[in-house]
Parts: sequence; C-alpha cells; structure tokens
Amino acid sequence: MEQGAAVQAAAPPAPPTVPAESPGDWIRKNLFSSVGNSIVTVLFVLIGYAALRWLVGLVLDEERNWAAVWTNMRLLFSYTYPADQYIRIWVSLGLTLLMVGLTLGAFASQVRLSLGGLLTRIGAAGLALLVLAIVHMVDLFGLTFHSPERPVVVMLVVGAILAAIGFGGRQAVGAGSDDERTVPLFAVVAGGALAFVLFLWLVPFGRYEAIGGDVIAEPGTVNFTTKFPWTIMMALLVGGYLAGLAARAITGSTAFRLFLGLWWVAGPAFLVFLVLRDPEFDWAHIWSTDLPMALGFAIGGGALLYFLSAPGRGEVARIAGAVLLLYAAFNWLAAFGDLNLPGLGTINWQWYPFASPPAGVEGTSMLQKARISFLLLALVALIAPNFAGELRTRLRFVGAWAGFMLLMHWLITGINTPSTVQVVQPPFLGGFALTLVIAYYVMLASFPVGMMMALARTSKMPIFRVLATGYIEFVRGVPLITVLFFFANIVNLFLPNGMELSDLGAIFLGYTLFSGAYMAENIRGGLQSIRRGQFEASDALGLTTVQRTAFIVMPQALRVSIPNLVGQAIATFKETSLIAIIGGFDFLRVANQSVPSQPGFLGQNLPALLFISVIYWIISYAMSRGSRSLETRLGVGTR
Amino acid sequence: MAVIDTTQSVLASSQQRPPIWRNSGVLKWVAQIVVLLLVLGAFWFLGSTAIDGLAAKNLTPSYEFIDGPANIQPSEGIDTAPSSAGRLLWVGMVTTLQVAIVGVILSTILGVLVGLARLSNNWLANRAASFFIETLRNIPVLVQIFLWFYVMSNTLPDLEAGEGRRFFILSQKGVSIPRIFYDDGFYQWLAFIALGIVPIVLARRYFNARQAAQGGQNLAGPATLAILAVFAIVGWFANSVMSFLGGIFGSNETAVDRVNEGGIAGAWQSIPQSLMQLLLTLAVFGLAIGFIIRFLNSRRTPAGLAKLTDDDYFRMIFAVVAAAFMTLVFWVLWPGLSSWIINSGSDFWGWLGDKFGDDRGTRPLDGMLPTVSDGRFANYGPTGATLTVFRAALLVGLVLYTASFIAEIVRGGILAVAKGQTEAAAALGLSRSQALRKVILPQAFRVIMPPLGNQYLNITKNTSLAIAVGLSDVVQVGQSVFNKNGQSLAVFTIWMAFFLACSLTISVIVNFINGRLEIVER
Amino acid sequence: MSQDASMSIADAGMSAELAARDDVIVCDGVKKWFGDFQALRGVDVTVKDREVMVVLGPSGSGKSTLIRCINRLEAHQEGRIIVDGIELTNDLRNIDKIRSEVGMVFQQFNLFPHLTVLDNITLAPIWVRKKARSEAEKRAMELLERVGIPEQAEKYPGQLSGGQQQRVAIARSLAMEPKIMLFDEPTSALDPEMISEVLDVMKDLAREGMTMVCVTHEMGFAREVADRIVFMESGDIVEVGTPEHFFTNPTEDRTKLFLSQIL
Ligand SMILES: Nc1ncnc2c1ncn2[C@@H]1O[C@H](COP(=O)(O)OP(=O)(O)O)[C@@H](O)[C@H]1O
Ligand SMILES: [Mg+2]
Repeated sequence: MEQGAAVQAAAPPAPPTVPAESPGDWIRKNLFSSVGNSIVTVLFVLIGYAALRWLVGLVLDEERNWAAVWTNMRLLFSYTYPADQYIRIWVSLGLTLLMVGLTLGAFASQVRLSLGGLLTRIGAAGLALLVLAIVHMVDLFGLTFHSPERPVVVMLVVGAILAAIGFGGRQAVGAGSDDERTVPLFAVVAGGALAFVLFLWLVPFGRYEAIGGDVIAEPGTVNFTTKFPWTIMMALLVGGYLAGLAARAITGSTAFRLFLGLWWVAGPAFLVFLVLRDPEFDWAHIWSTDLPMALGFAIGGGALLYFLSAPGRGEVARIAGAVLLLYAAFNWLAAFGDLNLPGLGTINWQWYPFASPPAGVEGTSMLQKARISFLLLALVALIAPNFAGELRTRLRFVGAWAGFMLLMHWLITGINTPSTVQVVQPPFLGGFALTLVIAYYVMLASFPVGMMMALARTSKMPIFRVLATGYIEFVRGVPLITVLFFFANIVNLFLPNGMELSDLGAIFLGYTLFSGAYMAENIRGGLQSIRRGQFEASDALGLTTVQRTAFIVMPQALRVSIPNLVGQAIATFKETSLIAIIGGFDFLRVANQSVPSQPGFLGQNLPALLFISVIYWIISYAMSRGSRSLETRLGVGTR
Repeated sequence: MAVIDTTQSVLASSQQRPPIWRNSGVLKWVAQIVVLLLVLGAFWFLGSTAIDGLAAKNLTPSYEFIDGPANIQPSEGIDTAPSSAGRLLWVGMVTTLQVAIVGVILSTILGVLVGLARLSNNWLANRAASFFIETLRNIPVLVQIFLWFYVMSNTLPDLEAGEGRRFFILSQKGVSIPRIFYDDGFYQWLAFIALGIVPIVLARRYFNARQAAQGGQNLAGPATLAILAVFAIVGWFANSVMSFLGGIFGSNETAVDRVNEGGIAGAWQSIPQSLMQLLLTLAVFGLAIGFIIRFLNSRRTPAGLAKLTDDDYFRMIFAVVAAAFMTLVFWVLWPGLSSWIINSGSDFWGWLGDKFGDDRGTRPLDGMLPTVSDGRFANYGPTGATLTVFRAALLVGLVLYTASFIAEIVRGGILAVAKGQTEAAAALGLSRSQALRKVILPQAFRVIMPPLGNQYLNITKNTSLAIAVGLSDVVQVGQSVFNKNGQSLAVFTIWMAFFLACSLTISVIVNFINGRLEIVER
Repeated sequence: MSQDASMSIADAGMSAELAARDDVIVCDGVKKWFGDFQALRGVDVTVKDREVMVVLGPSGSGKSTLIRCINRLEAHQEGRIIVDGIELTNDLRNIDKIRSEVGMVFQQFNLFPHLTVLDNITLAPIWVRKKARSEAEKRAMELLERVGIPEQAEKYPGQLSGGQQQRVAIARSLAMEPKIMLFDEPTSALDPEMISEVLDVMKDLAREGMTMVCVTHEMGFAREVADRIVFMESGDIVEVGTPEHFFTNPTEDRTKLFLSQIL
C-alpha cells in the first residue's frame, strides 16, 4: 500500500488527451512546436532523466534497509503504545474512520468523480512506474543496461498492469468528454478500501514484526495482527459511509449537524484522553466532588443564563456579567498566591477560601475547573442578551451551556487523572498519532484565538486594535521554534504555584498562540472583503454587535477565507514536525531517531525519512485538493 | 405657531445625559481600558511570578553573561573561538543572516524559473514544474532538511585524509572553493579611496561646466572612473598613510579602562549618563509634540478646528503616554539603557579606530585555497570558502521548499495580470515573449511583491531550523548558552529582538520596493 | 430669534393639516464632520406623522449623511435629533429603540448574500424583536406577498434581479414593523425597466400612511406622493416646499439651477 502511494506521489497528472488528436499531433503541438520549444523539451528530458534516476537509485540502493520501516510500523504510528492494550488504538481508529465515512456519506454523497479522469490517473501512475523502472535500468550516459533486480521487476509488472487497466479502461469507457461518465465518491472509497484489503491478504509483501528487541522479517503476506484489524477498519469506513447515505434524509436536521459538529470537536479528545489514555478515575472523588461541581455549574449557571436571556434584560445582564467578570479575575489573581507589589507591600491571599485547595481535597484540578468555569460564565452572561428570545431559543441556549459545562469538566477531570497505560516514556502518545492529534487540536483551538484577534484588529476601538496588532505582528515576526522553546522551557516559571503544564500541554499552548496569529491574519482577509453595506444593513435592522458578527459578518468572512484557512491547516500539520526538535516523540522524531538507533537498523535514517515524507505528502496534498473542490462547491451553491 | 410649540416642547423635554451604564461612548472606553488593564495586569503578574521563581533558583534574569566567557564553540561561523558569550551570539546571528540572504537570492531565482516553466506551453516543462511544486511544498521543510543532510552524508565521497590545499573539494563534509577575504589594510584602503571624492567632485564640476559651455561629449563619467581607479591603485600600496585615523577614532584594544580610549571613542565615553537620559527624554517628547502638532494641523479647516472624535483624542493621549512611559524607562525602569547607548557608541568608534593603525599590515585583500587538516576542513586561520554539509543541507532544504511557494506566487501573479493584458498586448502585435517581458512581468511584479516578501520572511525565520542539523545559528548557540547558564529568559529576548529586527527590515525593504513600483506605475 | 428663523425654514410649505400632526423626526442644528470635512452644516428639519418627505440635492450635498444620522448609522456631532420622542445620544437603550423603529432601504440593497430571502427577512424579527420563528416566517411570507415575490422565498439574493432584491430589502425592513422608513436612492442602482416595480411598492406604502423620508431623483414619484420636498446643497437645507411650489416656482436660484439640470 505504502509503496503504491509513494509511486502515485511521483506520478504527474495525466496528459489532457483530446480525442480528435493523434498522439503524433499531440507531441508535435505540445513538445516540438518551435525550435525553442524543442530545446526546452530536450533539456527537460535530460534533467528529468537525471533526477528520476537519482531518486530511484536513492530508494533502491542496497544500503537502504527498508525493513527498518516495515518492522517499525507500530513505532512510527503509535510509538510505544503497549501491545496488550493495542485494542484501544484500533477502537479509536475504527471510530474515527466510521465517523469519516458517516460524514462523507452524509455530506459528500453527491460528489461524483469523472471515470475517465480516474482511469487516466491510474494509467498515468502505471506509466510512471514503468518509466521509473526503465530509467533505473538504462544508464543513458554510460550506455549500459542493468538487468532488473526483484523490486524493479515488480515495478515493471505492476506498472504494466496499472497502465493496461487505466488506458485500456479509458478506451473501453469511450474517449468522450471527461464529464460524461462519472462514478460516485462511494465507489472510489469502497474500491480503494477493497484494494487495500486485498493487498493485505493476497500480496506476498513479507511479514515484518518487532517483538521485544527481535526483528522478524520473513516472506509471506502481511502479519495477521495487522491485516485483520485493518480489514475491520476498512469495513467500518465503508459501513460508516453507507450509514451516512442512509441518514441523508435527516442530514438537514439541526440535531444531526449538531451531533456531527460536536463529534468532530470533542470526539477526538474523547478518544485521546479517555480511550487511549485510559485514566484511572477515582470514583469516590468523582461522585463526591467532580460531578456535583459540574452539575452545579451546569444547572446554576444555566438558571442564571435563563434569567438573563429573557427579552429586555440587556442591562441587567451587562451588570451581572461585569460583576461575575470581576469575581473571575479575582479568582485568578488569588491563584498566584502572595504578590509582592514593589512599594505597596505584599498581598496575602490566605484569607480567601479558593486560593488553595480546601483541606482534605487533593489536587488543584478542582480549583482550576472553578476558575475556568466562572470566567466562561461571566463571558457568556455578558453576551446572553444577544441570544435572548422566546422560550425555545432560551432553552436551547441554556442547554448548550449545560452540555458544554459537563463536557468540559469531564474532559479536565480525564486529563488530570493519572493514566494506566504502561508506556516506556511518559507521553502515552507518540509518532504519527501525536502529530495528528496536536495538528488537529492546534487548528481547532487557534480558531477562536484567531477570530478574536482578527475582530479586535479590525475593530473601531483603538486600544483593541493596538493590542491585537501588537500580538499578531510580534508572533508573526518570530520563528515557531523559538516560541516552542519558550513554552517548553520557561512557561512553567510564569505559572503560579499549583498550576502546571505538562510538556505537551506547554507545546500545545505555545503552538496554538502562534498559530492563532496567522489564523487572525487569514480571517482578517475575509473580514476586509465584506462590504460596508453589510454592516450598515445589520445595524439598521437593530442587530447588536455580537449578533451582527455571529450571523452576518463571520459566516461571510469565513467562506471567503476558506482557501487560506486550509493553507494554514496544511502548514500547521507540516510544522508539527518542529516538535521533534524540542523533545517530543512525534512522527519525525521517531523516524529520525528512534528507528535509526535500533541495533538492527543503525544509521537507517533515509528509509524512514522517505517513508514519512510520503505520508506527510499524501495528507497535505489531499487537504489541498479537498479544499479546492470545497471551494468550487461552496462557490456554486450560494452566491 | 402651534407647530413651533410642539417642536419646542419636544426639544425641551429630552436633553439629558444617559446614565453611564447605557452610554455607548463611555462603555466603549471603559471596555477598552478594562481589557488593557487586564492584559497589563496579566503580564505583570506572570512576569513577577517568573522573576521570583528564577530568583529562588539563583537565576535572576540579567544580561551580564554577555560579557562573560563563551564556554561553547560554534560548529562554524565567522569566528570559531569567540571571546565572549555576546560574541558567540553575534557569530550565530551572522550565520543566520548569511543563510537567509543566500537563501532569499537562490529561492527567488529558482522560484521564478519554476513559476515560468509552470506557465510554459511546453507540456514537459509544465508538468515537471508542477511536479516540483506539488511535491516539495507538501512535505515539511524540516523533514526535507534532514533528508538532504542524510542524502549528502550518505552518498558523497569521503573527505580524503591528510593535509593539503586544493582548488575544489566536494565531500561528505561539504564543498570548499578558494576564497577572497579582507586583510588588515582593507579599511585604510577604503578610507584612501574615499579621499578621491574631493577630486571627483571638482572634476565633475569642471567637465559639466565645460560641456554646458562648449557642448560635445561630457567626460564627467569617465573622469570619475579614472580618478577612482587611480586612488584604488595608489591606495593599494600607500594605504598606510591613513593609519592616523586610528588615533582620531580612538581604540578599544589599547584602552586599559574605558576613559583612556582617547579620540572620539573617549569623548563618547565621557558623556555623563544623566545628559544622555535628558537628551533621550527631549527626543521622545519632541517626537510626541511634533506628532500632535502635525495631527492638529491636519484637522484644521478654514472654519476653525474640526470636531475631534474619541479616536483623535486617543491618538494624542497615546502619543503623550508613550513619551511619558519612555521617560520612565530612561530614568527609572532601565537607566542602564543610557549608559548602554554611551558604551556602544564608544565601542563603535573604538572598533572603527582599531581597523586603522601603524602596526597593521597593509594588504587590503588576500586569497586562500581550501585547506584540509586532520581529515576535516581547517577551522582556524583563513582557508577556502567552505559550504559545510550542515549549511548545505539547510540551504538546499530551505531553498527548494521556499522556491516551490515562490513559483506558485509568480505563476499566480502573472496569471492575474495576464487575463486582460495578453489580449491587449497581442492586439498591439507584440510576440508572446515580448508581451511577457514588456507588459506582463512589470505589472505582475506589483502583485507578486507582497506575498514574496512574506516568503522572504518565512525563509529568514526558517533558518532557525539550523538547530536540526547542528549548524550554529543564533537559535542553536542561544540554546547552548541557556543550557549552560540558565538565562533562558534573557536569551529568549535576544532572539525575539533579532528576529523582529530582521522581519522589520524585510518588510521595510518590501514596502519600499512596492512604493517605488507604484510611483513608476503612475 | 435665530431659533425662530430656522423653524420657519424647517416648517415651510406645510399645510395647516400637516402642521397640526405630531412631530416624528426633529432635526435641530445638526452638524456632522468627517475628519476635517463638514458634511452637515446645521440642518433644521421636522418630519410630521404620516408625511412623505423627499430629499433632493446634487451628489455630495449630504443627503445620505442626513438620513444616516437619523437612524444613527452615523453619529452627529452637534445639534439634536429626536425621533418619535427619543433623542439620539450615546444612550444604548435609545439607539436600540430607534433602530427597531426606523427601517432603512439602501441604494445597493445590502441583502445578506449567505442567507435565503426568507432568512434575510426573519433574522431581525427573531433576534431583535424576539419573535418565534414560525410567527416570523408567517409574517415574512405576508410581506413577500405584498411586494409581489412570494415564490422567491427559498432563493438566495444572488439569484434575484435587482428590482426583486430591492423589494426583498423593503420587505426585510417592514418585517421589523417600523414607524418610519428611510430610503436612500432606492432605485439608482436599478435597470430602468425595474424602477417602477420598486416605486409602486413605495407608493403603496405612502398611501397606507407610512412616514417616509426618501432620497430619490425620481421626479415623478416626488411630484405624486411627496408632501414636502427638501432641497440640500453643501450640507445645508436650501429650500423646503410642497411639490407644487417646488416644481412651479422655486424661490432659490440654486434650486432652479438644479431642477433645470435634472428635468
Ligand atoms: N464615511 C465618510 N468619510 C468621509 N467622508 C464622507 C463619508 N461619507 C460621506 N462623506 C462625504 O460627505 C459628503 C456628503 O456625502 P453624502 O451624504 O453621501 O452625499 P449625497 O448622498 O448627497 O450624495 C460627501 O462629500 C462625501 O464625500
Ligand atoms: Mg448618497
């Protein structure tokens, strides 16, 4: 599978075959139309030949021990997650794939791909394989010919088969316009899954495994503990897709969208912190403290918000919010313990009951939850009048608050509970899984940061503008690595006693704040594209600033910024690799350090690095293609 | 009359100030000031916690380590045995700048070529460029740097053992070519050439006047070149006559204590600190008052001063507050700043003075061949210009990655302009390449410039990835410094200041070029 | 004394019947600057209940600025504006009240392109007037019926013609049940064949007794429905009068010049 992907990476998109033209005409027109054109062609043939030959040589060189990759698949993707608990990884992956399928089935089911284009791509991939194999065999400069080794034979055979399927199929389909014959996305997903499963079960790729320190590399099909779970995973993906198709009738409903949205925000955190991390909950503490507290905030806060969101309570809410905000700020201040104010003496917080954990209660996570919850309650109370309305609107508003509170408390409790997973090194997550999780949540968390900063920077209020501009330009002026160094090394110094950030937490925070500045600039681009009339019309209708922003300005701004936001998502994903430098065992670090330091694979950096390059490439490329099609789809529907 | 009555009563009834919690003008400013105070407060509390915490570990942040010993050797750079930690950081900064500048130049050239190839109507060139772009920009640059590092060190030949000088060496450890460098007499030589300005000005005046009077060819240009050449040649041998300048500028080397530096350096040194503080204060208040006066002038209309808005008042208050804050900085928060300025001024003149002097050699320039000693490139003394494999991997990785983005920018810019203009150009009968060179590229340049500036910024910031291959750039040496002495906060501020200065420089340059382009346009 | 003089300009041309009605909008010495540019130089004008007032004037004379001050899209800096007994100050409560009592229709329609026609109309009733969605939708459909395009409810603004968009914009304003409607050149961005469909809707409104202030260059409309016409130049009101007075024997030379250019 991975090899196939690597080759596809190298395959240039297919030539636009225009039916009326003979190949000879096509070549004459596109390659030798003039003297200059012919020179360019010859030049590029030579450059291309040298480059490809070098590349294939690099991959097939005898010094590259590719078993370093195949035996370390688990290490690369999930680091040292214990084998006896590996089922947790499969459950998480399975759920994720199921939801990917469901989402695709529900929202992308109308997407159809051109059959001709698809076949041409397959054919081109085959052709590229053939070209690579031949380039490797024929030494143009020495005028010699290598007899092919086994991998090259495989390349030749696979290439020939793919080319035959692709171009043959293309002929059979008919050389009409590409748009005429299309296949649904489902067929492509299911076909891909099937091909992958067949590859796992049928192709004698070799059986690779690392048990303890021993490396097993023997002929045969892929290991059973790999191919069996993967078959189930593929089944889940396809099953999810079918379920999504079946659920299409209700995809328009708010509840379904809410469910999916909630899953994609909170689901991965659920998988990481509760399934993968397997926290050892202290149930007595949960029943006695955590749950009552969460319910208190959910219900008490909900009641307050219900009161404040009645029509006509705008001023009451403003005052209540301001009081709460003061209290929340005070709460945070108290967290810092004694404060030395030069010239003013020392402020001692001992008298304040919530400055440190009450007697008999262990840990500070409870106080932390209270501080965060109060702050959120204050902010939500301030904006409550904007979402006031009739009974149903208010109930929905209160419900959202209560749900969010429960979710947040539960997650913070999960994070602060010790893990039972027996790993060699503390972060229970590493390798590709870590890269993916960090990238995903940095993107998600930097979004509100960016939105706030973009709004502040475009605001009419000068102090907000100055603050936001300062933040954004400062962050954009310094390299990510220095920010990460700062957060990994010294951020804990800045925190008061009893508050602490784990290494990954600190990295996550730093990366989010960094990413938020770039996010802000992207969103600002969208904001600036909105015409003044939209603001005026909202004002004239009496919408408040918050309502105007939430209902009119942001939806339009975000739509405009989609290409830039996806670009940034890709950048965020790629730059997660910097974690390797400051000590996290991410995908890159495992490939570049863990694998090449194993006794059997000393110095085998290149195979592992090439392998992860391909994975990085596939994901980034898929994201950029996806965004392009999303753009066209959104562009058509609404404007 | 009844009409006027109702109107009057309406007017009379309702003139009252709204209560403050409903007054949008008041609330707007309260909200802003509260947020400002919260932000400042958060900084204050976080900062004081950090300083207390550090003090408890005996690590009170200070910049004193800069003058202390380096303790660490950079892997390469303009000085591989720096005398102080400050010098070490400087070596790192120079390495960063070198990589950044070379990277900017190379990635621009490559990016433009690939971008043009991407637009070519030759199918092969088009596809190859597209392959280049789509592959390279979708793989993390750090991974690419590692890849190039291992590719180079795994596939290039060994550096042959033994001493020796050769013209060109390509090996696992890097590439080395002959190098030209400044020798002792270089600055004296420059000063000597500068003497030529007087005759040049006289000659130009004479020839310009002659041409104005008699017509004919103007010999001002050739005369300038000739005089320059004469001074350069004579100065090559006679530059030691300029060594007296050393005495005027002063010196850092001979000074036992700073007051004895003599010359301009000594004069700087004798400026009292309070005078410098006073001058700085006057300068910032001068700037603030100048700003306010200019601002008020811009709001003055024939009918008197226009009504000022909240924002207008904010600007003026902000200017005064900023000036007051800076005054506080100069006198209370950081009085050392003034003495630092005095010392650096003095150091600068002393440094300049040290470039002159009787005891220096007089050869302005020298050359050297690549030197190998003990199976590696010589670290000490002049040798060839060596591109080590570390620097090469970083540079190749950065250049290819950035070029793939620049190519897309170039292509996008050209396409954006080309839409309407190609047809217009074709209608005028220009050929495709003429249209590209004369019509499209100059216009596309304006579209391209801002995102291109962003890429330059990116490449500069990405040089910090040098740490991955162990190249001693500013981040890598900074990290080794704080690993040794624990002054992470101080090093961090130095990094920030350095990179912000780079970013600012780049955006100033880009804006300047953009401004020029727009003037040309009109 | 000066007060009296300004009143006489502001209230000129009122019939006794009109003069006896309540004041709905009172502008008293309204001045407005943009930076160092003064756009309104002390405007005095009174609009009566159920009156239709048309504002004329050359481009840049401050017509838009005046009516945008009336619903506080722009804040005036000196003088007073009182709308329906509520004075426009920094008081948030007053601003909220004004906004939901004064509807405004723009030259560029300013519909929300990402919302359907129905959502455009129901948004403010739901979130500002706190109506139930079903009720708001029912009212929206009635209004669409009234402006003659009920079948377009599910479309997006981009799919409608200019005239249809402007009618949706009118329906959107009416959905807030305003007491006063402000129109800022509602037909200037329309193709000629669509102008009448919008004017017809406006005439209906006027006939039903809506208080309206219209900036428009449609002289036919002004002649037919206006109670009074106001002529502005360089931020000042130059002349106020009935249509009859205005089109037959205007007193001011500047008014004559303007009319001769436009007619
Ligand atoms: N937001 C603004 N900023 C600066 N000047 C403005 C602004 N809005 C209007 N103006 C100026 O105020 C004057 C009156 O504008 P406006 O009321 O739009 O005129 P009209 O609608 O009569 O054509 C014009 O000279 C215009 O340039
Ligand atoms: Mg106007």
